[in-house]
Amino acid sequence: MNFGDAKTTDRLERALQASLRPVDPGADFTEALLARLATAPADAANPLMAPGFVHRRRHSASMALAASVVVALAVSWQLLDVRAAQRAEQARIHSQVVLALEITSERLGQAQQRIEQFQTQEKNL
Amino acid sequence: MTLTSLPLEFPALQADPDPGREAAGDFAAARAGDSSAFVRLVREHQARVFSLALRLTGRREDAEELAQDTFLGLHRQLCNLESAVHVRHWVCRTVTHRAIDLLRARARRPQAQATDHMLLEVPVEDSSGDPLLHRTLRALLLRLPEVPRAVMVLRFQEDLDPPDIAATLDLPLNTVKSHLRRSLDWLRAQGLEMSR
Repeated sequence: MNFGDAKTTDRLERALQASLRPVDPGADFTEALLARLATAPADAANPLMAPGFVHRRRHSASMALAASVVVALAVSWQLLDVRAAQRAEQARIHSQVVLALEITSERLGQAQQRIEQFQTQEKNL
Repeated sequence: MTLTSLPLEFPALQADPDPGREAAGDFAAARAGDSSAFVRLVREHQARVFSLALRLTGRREDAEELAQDTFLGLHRQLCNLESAVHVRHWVCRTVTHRAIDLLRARARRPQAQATDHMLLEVPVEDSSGDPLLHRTLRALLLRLPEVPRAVMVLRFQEDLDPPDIAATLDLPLNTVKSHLRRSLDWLRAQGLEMSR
């Protein structure tokens, strides 16, 4: 059998062609299809499925992608700002703590001196 | 395999020698949104699509459902198709893949084994030749696995050449030739009585 030859001669093949003749589904088929087209969400009645919608959908997808990139950049920028502000606040708090410790240390030194002076005066008496 | 992933290009497929101005006109009008032209397009292809589904699934109700789903898909995809010739290839390809998916899903169900006797009961009007032989051949085809069955139906119902069948089913050409040869050998081995 020559499979590249469209004309088959074998009796079995002729019988197959005869037994597989297309059959029409009947008039009800088209009516049912039209009814489904009228009620299906993705049909002609839906303006989203009109011809040309796919092109608009591709355009919308591009716009959505661009918008996503812009939003992502804005969020990243905002995060950088927040982190810088947090670092500045941490540095401010650190310096205040150091200053408070310095003040406390100075006051303790002064109190120590007064105690020593008081003890010296008591010995002298 | 999912239908949404089906490509819309048919590089290896041959155009009909005379697709007809009327079909081209209906295609262009349907693509522009003319619903009556779409109905004419459906009527032009409905016998082909329904018969492919019927020969592959063996059940009239499944065939009607598959054929209608295919035309609903066609309605959505019209703007992506280039010509009336592509419509024929698109519907053949889509209904065949959907039918194969259905058969595979059916095979996974436990009651699938019970369908074999029912497949012989597909009512088909047969006014030419030997009706008994034709009915037997159709029943035997339904006993083939889904892919060889699709190859045989595309070959002998749609008169597609092996390269076109390979493009329709996304199969290597040699696989298609092998399925054809083995299926024909198997049918011959069934000892059919064929009159001239």
